[in-house]
Amino acid sequence: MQNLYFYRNKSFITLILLLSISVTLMFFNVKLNFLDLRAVLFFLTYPVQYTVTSIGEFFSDSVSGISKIRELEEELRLTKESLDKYKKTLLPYSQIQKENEEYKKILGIKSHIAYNTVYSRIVFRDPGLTGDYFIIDKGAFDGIKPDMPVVSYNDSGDIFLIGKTTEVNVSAAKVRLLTAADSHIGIELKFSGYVGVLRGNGSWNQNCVAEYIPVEADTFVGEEVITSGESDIFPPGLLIGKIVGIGKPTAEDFFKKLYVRPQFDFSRTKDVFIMEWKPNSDVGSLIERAGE
Amino acid sequence: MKKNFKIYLLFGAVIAVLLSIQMTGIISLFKINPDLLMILCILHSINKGEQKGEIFGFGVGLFEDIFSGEVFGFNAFILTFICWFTSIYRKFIFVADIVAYLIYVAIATILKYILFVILSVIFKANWIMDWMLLLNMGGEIVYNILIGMLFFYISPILYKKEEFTF
Repeated sequence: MQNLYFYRNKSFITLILLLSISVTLMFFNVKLNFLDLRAVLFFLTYPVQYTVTSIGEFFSDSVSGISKIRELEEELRLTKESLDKYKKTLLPYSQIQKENEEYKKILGIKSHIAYNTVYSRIVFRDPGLTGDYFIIDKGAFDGIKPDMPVVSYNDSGDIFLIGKTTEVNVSAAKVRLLTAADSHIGIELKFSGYVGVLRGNGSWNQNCVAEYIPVEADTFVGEEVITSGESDIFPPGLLIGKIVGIGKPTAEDFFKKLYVRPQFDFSRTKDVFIMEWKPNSDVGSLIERAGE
Repeated sequence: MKKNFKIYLLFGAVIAVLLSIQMTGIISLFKINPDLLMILCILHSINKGEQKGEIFGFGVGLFEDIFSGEVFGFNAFILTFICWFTSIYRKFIFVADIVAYLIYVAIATILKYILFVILSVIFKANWIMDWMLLLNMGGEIVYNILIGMLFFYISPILYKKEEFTF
C-alpha cells in the first residue's frame, strides 16, 4: 500500500527531493573547488563554444558590414551632392574671376591710350574672306559717332588701329576695317619718316598696300607703319602694322609699293576701344576744299 | 542501448550548443537574451513526462550553474520547478499544441523571474525587483515565444518517436 502511494506520487516526491538538493546546495553555498568542474566543462565545450562564437561573429560582422556599406554609400551620396554644390558655386566664381582679369587687362590697356576711349565688345563679324567690318555693342547712346578711330590690343599689350566707325545706331555701330577695299589712311614709316597712303585690298587675310612712298625712301622689311596724323579722323602715331614686302619699281616710276601686314588679327579680336579724338575743325574744312 | 547512447549524445550536443549560444549572448537583442535551455526543458517535460522532465531540468540547471558562476543549485531549482509545473498543468490547457506550448513558455518565463527574485532575496540578500527587471521580463517573454516557435517545429528531430499528448 505504501509502495503504491510512492509510485503514484513519484513525480512529486522527485520534485521535493530535487528541490531539497538544490536548496541544500544553495544554503551551504557548495563550491566544487576540489574538482574544478567548471574548467573541465569549459575544456569539453570549448570547440562547440568556439564554433558558435565564430559563426555568430561571422553573421554579426556580415550584418554590420552590410550596414556599414549602406552608411558609406549614404556618405558617398552626400559627399557627391556637396561636391556638385561646390562645383556649381565655384563655376560662376571662376567665370567671374576670369572676367575680372579680362577687365583688369582692359583697364590697363585703356590707361595706356592717350585719348578718351569707349570700351566695346564685338558682337558680330562677317566670317567670309571678304569680311571688312565688325559690329560692336556701343552706339549713339554711348557717344559713338561716325568716323571715330577704333583701336584694339594684343596679348603683349600693343595697341593698334583696326579701322573707323561708319554707321551708328542707338546701341550698336559698324566698324569699317582698314583692310576694306575702299579704306584709305594716311600713314608714316616710323623709322624712315616717309608718309604715304595705306589702301586696303578688300580681304582681311591680305596685306594692305602703302602707296605714294618715294622710290628713294630707305625702307626695310619689318619697319613699323603708323598713322601720319594728316587726317581729320585718325590721330598721329597709332600703330597699323609692319612692312612685309617691298615692290620693285621700274625706272620710270616715282613711287614704290610697300606691302603692310596689319597688326590686328581678324579672328582673335574681341574687344575694341573707340577713341574720342577731335581734330582741329578748320583742318577738316580745308581738306574738303583742297581740290578747289 | 546503442540507440539510447546516440540520443544522449544528441541531447548532450544540443545542450552544449544552446549553452554556448546563451553564455556568449550572440543572439541577444536590445540586451535581452532568450533562455534557450528553459525552452528546451519545457519541451522535454511536455514530451517525456513529469519525472523525466524534472530530472532533465535539474541536470541542465546544475550544468548552467557550473557555467554561469551562480550560487550552486540556483538554476537547478528554477528549472526543476518549471519542468514540474509544465508537466503537471499541461492537461488543463485545451488549445492547439503550438499555442499551449507558447503559453507555457510565457508562464514559465514569468515563473522564472518570480523565483529568481525570491531566491535572490533568500540566498543573496539582494532585492533586485525594479522596472528594468519587469521590462526585461516582458522582452524575454516575447523573445522566448519567438524562439519557442522555432524549437517547436524542429523538435520532432529530438522527439520523433514521441507523440504530443496535450
